[in-house]
Amino acid sequence: MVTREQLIKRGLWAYETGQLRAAARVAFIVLPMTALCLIETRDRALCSLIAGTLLIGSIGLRWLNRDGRVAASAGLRAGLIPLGAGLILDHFGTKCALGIDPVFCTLCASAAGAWAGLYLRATLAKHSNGTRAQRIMLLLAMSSVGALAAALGCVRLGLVGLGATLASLILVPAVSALGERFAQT
Amino acid sequence: MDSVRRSNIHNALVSLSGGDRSAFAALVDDLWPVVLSFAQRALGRSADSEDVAQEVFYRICSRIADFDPERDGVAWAFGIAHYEIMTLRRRLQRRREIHDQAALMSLADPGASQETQLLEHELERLLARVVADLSCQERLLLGLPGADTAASMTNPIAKPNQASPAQRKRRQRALDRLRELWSKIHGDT
Repeated sequence: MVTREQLIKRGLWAYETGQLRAAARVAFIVLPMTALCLIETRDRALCSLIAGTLLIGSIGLRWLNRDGRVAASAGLRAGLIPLGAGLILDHFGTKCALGIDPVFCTLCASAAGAWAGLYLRATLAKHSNGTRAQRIMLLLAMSSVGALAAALGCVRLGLVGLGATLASLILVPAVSALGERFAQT
Repeated sequence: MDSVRRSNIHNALVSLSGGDRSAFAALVDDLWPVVLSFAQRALGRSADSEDVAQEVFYRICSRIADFDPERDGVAWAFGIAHYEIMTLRRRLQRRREIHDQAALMSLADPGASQETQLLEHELERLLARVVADLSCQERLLLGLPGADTAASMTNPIAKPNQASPAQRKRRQRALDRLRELWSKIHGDT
């Protein structure tokens, strides 16, 4: 006859492995994104490093709890926009830098980041039933995953391009959330 | 199952699917007795039923990540339990069939197969037909059945290594005649 403690111990083990298996399914999205980034021969090591961090972070978040699952999924979806934009800009040989000439690249990168940020903001609004701390944590997790996914595409645009994308992606939802809070008060 | 327990199971499953590990003890307290009783009803009160119930319970735990909180938790858990118990029952039944086959093999007749026996019988019948055409003296010389016992008493045949040259010659002739008759009746085969 099995004891209650044994049941809890073995059951928890089964539960954790099940959670991990379900979380690992995110690899089906992250690996194709990594492959897109690795098509280009330049900066492959950096690209692999970002992809590895993104994969481990996404699996960890999805394993943790439901908010983590929401954050990983929303972050990856949001990151697809700047990732695509970054890859297209890089394909045409554009390099972002400070100055007048490459302003188009910087603008495009910022716009893609802002678009992703707005998507994150909309996702956060849909999951507004948690506490304030939970919402901040959710926003932080979403932004981190989104920033890593965006970095996969924008890593070859130069520091300015990457910085513009990430700044827009992180600032837009944060500023938008703060603005709404002030409007409510 | 009363509605309180049903609601407790559902709430524990919802909490666990959301990542709240503290709800696990509640799940064990409420779901385990139900799964055990379900397995016992499906398999009878054997020692196997508790093992099966444990396996089913762990399977439910490992699939909580796929649980949709909008669905009824008990119905979801019982769907898994039903499927698992049916699979295990089929597996046990297959194992029993394999054991039955082994028992049958041990009961098999160790003698020759029916086909071999039939061939031997047919060969004996054909030989008897040929031997019937041999004379009593020839049968006696070859040591075949059907030789006249009186003849054997008056003219005993010595063993091949003790036989005289004349007897060996007669035996050789009898053997040649037997071959000839066999070829005549059954061909050269």
